[in-house]
Amino acid sequence: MVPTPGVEKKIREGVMKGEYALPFYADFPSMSNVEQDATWKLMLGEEATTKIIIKTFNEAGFDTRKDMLQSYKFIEGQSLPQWREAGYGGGLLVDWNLKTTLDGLYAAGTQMFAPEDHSYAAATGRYAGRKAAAYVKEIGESKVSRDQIEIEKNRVFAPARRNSGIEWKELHAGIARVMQYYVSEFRTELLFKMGMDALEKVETESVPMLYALDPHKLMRTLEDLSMLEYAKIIIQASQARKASSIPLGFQRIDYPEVDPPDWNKYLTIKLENDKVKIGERPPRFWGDMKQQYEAYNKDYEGVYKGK
Amino acid sequence: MAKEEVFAIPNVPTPNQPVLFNPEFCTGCNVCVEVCPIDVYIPHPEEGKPPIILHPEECWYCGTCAVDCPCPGAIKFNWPLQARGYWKNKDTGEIGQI
Repeated sequence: MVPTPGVEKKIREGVMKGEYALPFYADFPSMSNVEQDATWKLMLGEEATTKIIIKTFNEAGFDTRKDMLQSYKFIEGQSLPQWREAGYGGGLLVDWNLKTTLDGLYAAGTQMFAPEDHSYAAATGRYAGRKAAAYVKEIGESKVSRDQIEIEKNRVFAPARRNSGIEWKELHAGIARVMQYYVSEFRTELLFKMGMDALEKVETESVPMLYALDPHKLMRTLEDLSMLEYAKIIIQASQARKASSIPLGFQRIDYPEVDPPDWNKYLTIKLENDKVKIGERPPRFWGDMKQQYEAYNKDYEGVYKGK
Repeated sequence: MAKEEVFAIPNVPTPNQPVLFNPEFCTGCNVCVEVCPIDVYIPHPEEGKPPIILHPEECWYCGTCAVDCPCPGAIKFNWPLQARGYWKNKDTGEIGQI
């Protein structure tokens, strides 16, 4: 039954105040057995186009005697999916050489927490390239790890070795759906955890079935594998920030206080020995711009100082 | 003329596996081909083999094929990743998904 607009408004307000916890469920176990059976077995189970839904749920283990059916009302969100964001910002953490925390890996452009414009991308690209070249000169030749290359080759080519299963567009839609349900308009600890579990299920069950029929589709498949990682990072970062924030476009139902001074800081997130490690940096942790630039670019006589 | 090989093809439609046939149980009777209101399938040119899913992107997921199939285990309905419903065990809190 569809609630009237008035009732729906009240429910929505209750959700935002934390009076009701999302997601909602169809609470079959609270109904009498005869009501459960009339709804599930008779009404849905014998109706032409819902028969297959009931059959599939039953075969997967759903049982009206003990299980509650999840509702997607509200968690699907009201805004257009393409305009929904998990929160603004985020990117690779870099030092004044634009080196990431992985030694030897440099970053430029919008992969950092950065303005999204061409001049910034061009300037940081040039800078990072110069610093990376200096790094290479300094460390000289290093040993190539054949093992690491083999592991990476296996990862990259695995989808190309299959010719049926799940292709990239389905994976893409699957990840997007998880993010829309659990990390979009409504943010709570419970929804984050459900989102994380759903992504892990995608990773263990669907990723090993990925296939790519040609190099283009392999490229898209690999992009989506990265997207799966980003999705996990977004959820873990969201879990770590236990406050709401206007500049970050980040509103939590369970932590409604907006920009409390304690949370005026950056959170860093890093994978260390397969464990997620959360750290923090103070605001403006990069220091004084002019001073720091001079300190890190003493030897540079290019565009900056002129000839 | 020399044999030509194709190494690139357009994207396959998504979703593209509305059902999974199990050739072990499927007798190729083509009941599913007959009952499908959308004509998603065509019979396999080789008799006794599972039909070919020729137009998967047109599937409505009505399930008629799977429900009317006379060979148990021959057709498994396969919801795409983005359309797999969840439930929760009321006592344990365990989450299930189709």
